[in-house]
Amino acid sequence: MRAMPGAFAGFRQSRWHRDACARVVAFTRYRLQILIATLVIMLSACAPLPEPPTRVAIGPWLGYDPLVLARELDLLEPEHLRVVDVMSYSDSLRLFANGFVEAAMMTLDDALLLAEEGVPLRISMLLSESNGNDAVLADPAIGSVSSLAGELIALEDSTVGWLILDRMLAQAGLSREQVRTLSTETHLHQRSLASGEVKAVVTYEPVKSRLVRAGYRVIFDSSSMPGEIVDVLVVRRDLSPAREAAIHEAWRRGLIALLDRETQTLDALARGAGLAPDEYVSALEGLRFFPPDETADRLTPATMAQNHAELVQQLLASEVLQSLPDWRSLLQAPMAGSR
Amino acid sequence: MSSHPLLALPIRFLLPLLAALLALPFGWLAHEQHADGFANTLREQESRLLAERLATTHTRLEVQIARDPMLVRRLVSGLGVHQDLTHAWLTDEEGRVIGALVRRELDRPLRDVLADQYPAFDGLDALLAQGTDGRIRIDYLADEQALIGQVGVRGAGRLIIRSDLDRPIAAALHANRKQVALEVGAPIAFALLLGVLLHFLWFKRAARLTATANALGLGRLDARASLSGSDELAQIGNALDGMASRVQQQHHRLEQLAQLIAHSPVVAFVWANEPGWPAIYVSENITQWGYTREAFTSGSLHLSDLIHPEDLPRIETEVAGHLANGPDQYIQEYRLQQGDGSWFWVEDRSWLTRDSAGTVLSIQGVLLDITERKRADSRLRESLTQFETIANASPVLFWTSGLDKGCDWFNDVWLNFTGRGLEQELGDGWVEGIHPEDRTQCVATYVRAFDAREPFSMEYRLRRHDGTYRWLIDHGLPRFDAEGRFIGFIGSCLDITDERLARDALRESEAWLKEAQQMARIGNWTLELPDGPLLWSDQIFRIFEIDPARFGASYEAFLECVHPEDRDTVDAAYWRSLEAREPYAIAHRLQFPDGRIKHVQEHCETEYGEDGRPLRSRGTVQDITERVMAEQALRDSEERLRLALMAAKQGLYDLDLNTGEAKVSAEYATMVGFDPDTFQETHTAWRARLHPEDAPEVFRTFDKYVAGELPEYRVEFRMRTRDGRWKWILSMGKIVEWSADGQPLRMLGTHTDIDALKQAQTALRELNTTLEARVQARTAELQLVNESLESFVYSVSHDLKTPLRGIEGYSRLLQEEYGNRLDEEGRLFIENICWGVNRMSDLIDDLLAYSRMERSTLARSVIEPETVVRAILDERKSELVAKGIATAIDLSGVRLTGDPDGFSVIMRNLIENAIKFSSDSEDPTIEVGSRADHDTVTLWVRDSGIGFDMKYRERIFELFQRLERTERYPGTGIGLALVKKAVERMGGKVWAESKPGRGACFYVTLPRA
Repeated sequence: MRAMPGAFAGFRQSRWHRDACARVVAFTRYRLQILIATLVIMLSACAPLPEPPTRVAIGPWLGYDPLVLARELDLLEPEHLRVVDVMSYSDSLRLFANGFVEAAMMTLDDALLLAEEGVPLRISMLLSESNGNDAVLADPAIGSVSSLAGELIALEDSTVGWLILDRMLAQAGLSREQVRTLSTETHLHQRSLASGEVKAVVTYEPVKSRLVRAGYRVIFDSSSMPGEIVDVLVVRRDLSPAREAAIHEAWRRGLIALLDRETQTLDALARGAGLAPDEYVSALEGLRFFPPDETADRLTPATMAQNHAELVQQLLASEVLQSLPDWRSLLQAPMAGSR
Repeated sequence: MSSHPLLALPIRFLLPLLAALLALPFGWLAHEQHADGFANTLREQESRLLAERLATTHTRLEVQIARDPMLVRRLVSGLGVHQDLTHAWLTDEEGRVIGALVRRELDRPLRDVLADQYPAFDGLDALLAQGTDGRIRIDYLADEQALIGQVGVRGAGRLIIRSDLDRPIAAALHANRKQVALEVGAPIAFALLLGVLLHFLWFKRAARLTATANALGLGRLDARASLSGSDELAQIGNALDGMASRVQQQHHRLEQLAQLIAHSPVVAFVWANEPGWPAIYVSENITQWGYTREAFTSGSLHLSDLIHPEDLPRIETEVAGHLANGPDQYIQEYRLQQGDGSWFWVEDRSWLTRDSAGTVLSIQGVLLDITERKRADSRLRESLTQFETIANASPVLFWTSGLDKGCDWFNDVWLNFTGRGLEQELGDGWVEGIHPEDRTQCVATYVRAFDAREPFSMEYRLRRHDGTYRWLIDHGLPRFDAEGRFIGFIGSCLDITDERLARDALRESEAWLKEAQQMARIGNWTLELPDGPLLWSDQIFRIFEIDPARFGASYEAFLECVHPEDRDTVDAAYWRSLEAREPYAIAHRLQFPDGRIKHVQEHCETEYGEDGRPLRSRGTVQDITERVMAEQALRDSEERLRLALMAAKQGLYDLDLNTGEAKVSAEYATMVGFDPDTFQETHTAWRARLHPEDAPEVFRTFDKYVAGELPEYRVEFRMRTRDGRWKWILSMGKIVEWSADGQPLRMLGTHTDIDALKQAQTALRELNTTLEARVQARTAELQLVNESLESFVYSVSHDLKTPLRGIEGYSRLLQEEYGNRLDEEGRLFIENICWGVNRMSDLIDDLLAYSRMERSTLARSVIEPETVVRAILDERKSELVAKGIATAIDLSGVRLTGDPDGFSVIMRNLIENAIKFSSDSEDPTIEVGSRADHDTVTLWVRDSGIGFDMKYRERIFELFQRLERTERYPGTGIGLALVKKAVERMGGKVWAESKPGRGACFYVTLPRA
């Protein structure tokens, strides 16, 4: 081994070696240029596209207003998160199911139904529970629920609508077969009642307050079924954790602002809901927001299965759901590398 | 020596590297080319999308605006679902925002909202200054890469939405970069793979091939490359292995050959070209002559030492001659002394080996003991001498030839005949005496017989000593020696000139006779009387169409051919001539089994003996069918002419211009009411019947015709008939005889009754006068109807657009948002609705354009077609690039006058047409060119598309006419009608030329500037 340096030195002085080195250097220079050009093209092809904003669809339900507030008060970055007020609640379900938005706010039962229909979703957050904001309003001429037998009742074609109707009918000892129903969107409820076409509507805030103002009577509301109507944030299964976290953060900031109940804030929201500020404040009473730091604890498969067992049973009994929900899959964290 | 650094690389690296270097610029170019088109295409797409959204929202808003303001508000905010849509505002009539993506903008003047929140939002004033009718308007904000669309909403102000193009463009570029990366990466990966493959498939095996070649070069003949496969290397390897095998075999054969020589009677020598010619090599079998090979190879014994002293000088001289001048192969015979001292004859066949400079390097020879053959030759020579003596004594010309085909002997009779010496005739010398015309044939016959060893007999002319050529008959026979070996030919010749001349003269005379008979179609016959044979010449057989090989000549056969109706007459004529002892001639018909008739003319004469008995009859038969038929045809033709004139009511006249008398046909007389049998026409009588008003014109025409100013005499006039009526006559004539001083003598012509025709013409003229007035009235009426119709079309089209926009928007909404709830068929139905709506929208647009074209005022200004055409092509650039259509414009310097809008419509439609129908063709090309004439300019748009059948050249310019199915080539069938309308309004002309599958060319001619 000790002879090597000397022998190697001799080799390094040879003319062949000098020529070879020159050629290798020349080739290396060419190769570098080529490699650089190729890499530029290859890498530019792999460079990520500018991300479009995450769209959250929300229907006209008071319980979703913290996110609206976050938007109105610039508490979110509009280029990354867009909160879209869609025309109706069922519109928000449809847009989410068809992949037009990345997230939506809906009741838990609708989330379970969509999941069973095969929509790739994840329950991301518990938002609020209805404590009277969902209600059945009837023509003042209707004295009690039992008077509705044989009458036409309008309701939005959502699971919650049917759930409230079933609960109310059960309380009065009626069955679904004893009333007639008409599927209409919420914004048509007042018109339907006014025309005398229907005798009662299953609706929710802010329409409920508007109907009360117009003289219709609440004959049943969600305060009679505590914990059953829960609103959740659902996101597409492949939404990245960072984008999901941005929605959570916006919700948290909006919620704090809403709970502050500043007049200016309430005015804006009331105007959006078509209510007077005091109507708006009273409507908020029919809601209970989950504190954001609690929702993580409640969003475990076991807790969810336990807390919502009754709801699930009701959904199975009315054949809205065909099988028990797979809570683990519904709450599973996204895979790494998701959008 | 320095070489390029790249050449230092092994080929398996160099090839992939070069491939990669090639791929890179191509990839970059592709990227640049695509990127150009993206922005425009995307802008178009996004504009369309924006318009659709506006249309849909607009319709929904107009429905909801009066019913539910809350819903209207959410309808606008819901637009935020569309990713690239960044802003949306709905204002009321005062410009206050009543709908927006965010609630804080509600109930504020739009101008304030924009000023506060979007200070960078340019072009606002221009935007708000625009009208707010129901029409959708899309503007492109180039600085902000954004589209802004607005539409007036009934019951409110307007709906404005803004869509950013940044992201769609970025996405398209991103996709393109991926494509380019793939296009560049794939060739590089392929090149690398190629390098690896080359190593295993080519270079490794090439090394093995080189090693094999080296081993073979070192003499290891058993070395083999044994390369598998069938590529070029394997082929070279196989060829090398084959070559090695052959060399090995040849080596083996050489060794066998040496063994063979050692066991043969032939002794082989190789001498060096040195004084005394020392032997380099001697075959082993030299021992048969009592010597050892070492005695020669050691130099102690030279072959020349053993040659007989009498032969030695000759041999040395000959060898020296061959060494100096060649030829390099030679045979020598000489005597050699054996080891026991006795002498024997050898045949030495030697050949020389020379280098490139011609210097002899060595002499090779094989020596054979020929003592026995020498003895046999000697015996043969004696026998020949005897034969020669006999041959010279006979009158026959004799010759013999040897194995080399050359003649080696001629007897004295031959030599005396030709007057030449033996030396002159030997070998090929005798050929000189053969007549040049016979020479080739003679030599060929001799050579063919010689090669086949077969006897021959031929005739040819040989020059006699007095210079004349005499015909000889030459019989040749092959000669064989006692052992049956072929030794050459012997021939004998006889002079047959006299017989030959007699024979030729006879043959020639027969040929002449035959030819004469054939040309005149005359055959001759001889009948020996009373029962002797009947002889027919060939021509008679031909006339009677009898095969001489099957039937002989007989009087019965002759009568059988005669037409049954003529048979008795012909038979009687012959017997009557015998009785009267007079020659006779008769014409009659022949009839053949297939019904054909021939006409013949016969002549016959009989010879009588001294006792008055008939000895023989001789006669000729001539085929005169053609003549008879020609005469018949002439008669028929004359009859047909007569009938034709009669049928055409034409009368014929033949006027003698000197006497004024005329011969006329019956129709001529009847035409003017006279009895043909008694009517006599004269110039004076004719002149008296001519209408006085027509007379001057008639005579003027005649004078002009005679003076040569008119090619024919043709004139119409009225003529009084016998009952006093006037009748219109067309007279045509031609002068057929002139006097020597150029005066007309005779005129032939016809009179045609054109009275009915004249009456019809008068009636038609009267009709035409009234018709014109009626057409004018009708045209005015139609114009009025047309104008009101166009106005109606415009209104209807315009009103149809609005509901259609609603259908289109809702269909798209249904497709996008409810698409997944429908089954396959449902989605197909919606697609069909969308397709139908788009087509109807296109139709209405085109109809509107067509109608607008009618209603708009025609401007007149100078147009530069090149500017217009280039602008149109620029707009369609992305489509042209995508479809790979090449364009060629040659319009420089052309200027014309017309309506600029109309001209734009013309060129846009023609170019769009060309693009549409060229897309499927190979190498699609669109050529726009022009040609300027005196006061017009003709422009053309030529494409290489599917073309059309020229029978549709008018139809394609009609409204709603389409030659192709809409599914294949979309369109409304209005474009070309629009072109035609625009061209006609500008006082121009449009037409097209095409062939199916060969492209089409549309030409437009317009006034020049």
